[in-house]
Amino acid sequence: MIDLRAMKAALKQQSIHFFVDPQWVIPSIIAPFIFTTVTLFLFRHAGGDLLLYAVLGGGVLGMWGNTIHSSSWSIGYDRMNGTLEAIMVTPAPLSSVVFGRCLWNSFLGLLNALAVFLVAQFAFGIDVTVQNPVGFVVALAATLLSLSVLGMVFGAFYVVTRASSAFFQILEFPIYVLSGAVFPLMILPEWSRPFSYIIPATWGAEALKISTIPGYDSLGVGYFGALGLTILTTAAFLLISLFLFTYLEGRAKVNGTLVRY
Amino acid sequence: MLRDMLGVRASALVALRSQFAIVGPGLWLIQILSTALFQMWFFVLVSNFAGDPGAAPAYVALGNAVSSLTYSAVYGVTMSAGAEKHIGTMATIMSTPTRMFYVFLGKGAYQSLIGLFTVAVSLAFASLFFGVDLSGADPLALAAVLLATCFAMVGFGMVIGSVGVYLRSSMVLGSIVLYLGLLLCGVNFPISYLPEWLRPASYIFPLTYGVQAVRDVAAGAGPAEVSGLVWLMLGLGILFFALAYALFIYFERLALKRGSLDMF
Repeated sequence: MIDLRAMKAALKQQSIHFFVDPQWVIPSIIAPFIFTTVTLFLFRHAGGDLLLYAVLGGGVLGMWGNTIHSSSWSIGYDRMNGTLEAIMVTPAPLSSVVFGRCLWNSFLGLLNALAVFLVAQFAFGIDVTVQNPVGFVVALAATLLSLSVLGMVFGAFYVVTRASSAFFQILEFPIYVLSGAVFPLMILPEWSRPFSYIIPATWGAEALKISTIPGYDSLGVGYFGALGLTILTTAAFLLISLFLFTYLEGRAKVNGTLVRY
Repeated sequence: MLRDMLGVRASALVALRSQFAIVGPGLWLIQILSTALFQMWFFVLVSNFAGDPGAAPAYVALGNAVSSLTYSAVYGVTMSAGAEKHIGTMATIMSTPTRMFYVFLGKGAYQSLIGLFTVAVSLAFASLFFGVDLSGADPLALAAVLLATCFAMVGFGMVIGSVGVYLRSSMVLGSIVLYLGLLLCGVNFPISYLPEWLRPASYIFPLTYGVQAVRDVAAGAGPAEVSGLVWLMLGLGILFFALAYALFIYFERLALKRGSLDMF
């Protein structure tokens, strides 16, 4: 399972990396920021709730963009600097280290939500009022956790591949689309919806929208339904990621490819 | 001159050979296709939901197809200098008799080919999945427009990339330029949607003219009708390459003076 001490230490180390050189957050959140700002421009004619979609979705996009980008780079850098082997011979499980990093990266992705909120407030004059503040905070925390766990699932593969930069590019935009973060899921084609239903971020974004947009419940599951499904899918992905880490760590050790860059 | 041209050729060949050193051909192809398709799909869905007739799904899809050139023609070129610094080969490149500008020109030439492949795939996606009608497009005009756009964008990428010789990394700058076009260049909505103070910035990006020219060609314009935009992009491209040449020399000297060549 997750070693809390190792996770906390990894989170702290990742945060120190950020504060030492904050410019590196730009490549991670520029895509979600521009995507959300373009969305604001496209939604501004319709106004009202559509603009709220963009602001809320921007938060989810930012958290995911930063998680997948920074997490893939962090393992890639360990590989390049030759520290991946050192991390793997410590008693702390690698999964806990990666989870701590993903948590920090998801949290930092909220910077995009802040940036989008400021653009929305000052450039578009949108008044963001949360109708259920407690529900919003709980949903935000659950979404953050769910995206960190999803980042962890993919992080497991970075242990056995040198091509982490290619993977993050492949994986970033599909989640933007399939999670339905900035539009209702119902506008996606029917065949793609099952993929959306298994992504925890879909339900997290749904819970965020329900707690903010009056009368919104596009999937008919209600706030607690969406929150429950976020937790359920997150737990499932956590189990998958732990299994993957055990299997792929073992494989990397047998192959002896940890420092191959 | 001959030495410089040989340098360009050698650099392009090295770029070609090292393309699949880390990311294999299959994964690279998935990366290109998936990024182009999902970015386009995202904005098409947003446009569909917004229901703005000024930025209909086909309009957005076509804009995104053209903007896919940016990944290679601007970002790829911009990142070249940063990548050399990252792996510690910048000083070695500088010790060769070929000027750094020509080394990166070779890399840019290779990236142009990748860019043209990407934009062709993206236009096919736009046409197959997102209702973009290219049946009335003149193939010659489309080819001329895409080549001119690619030329100008590689020049633009070289200008941005030259800063990477001096800076610790060009990744931050490259990332900003990579996505800014989606907002400023009429890719997803007309430039008139932008606040007035922001519009002049659109005209610095060659992508703005490229997107407009491709829209014109898709609407049935022939080579003569888009020749103005094509000449404008060629002129801009020449200007960018000349500026890049001067900047590479300037930043090369500055980096040597400050010892920042291997600083990453």
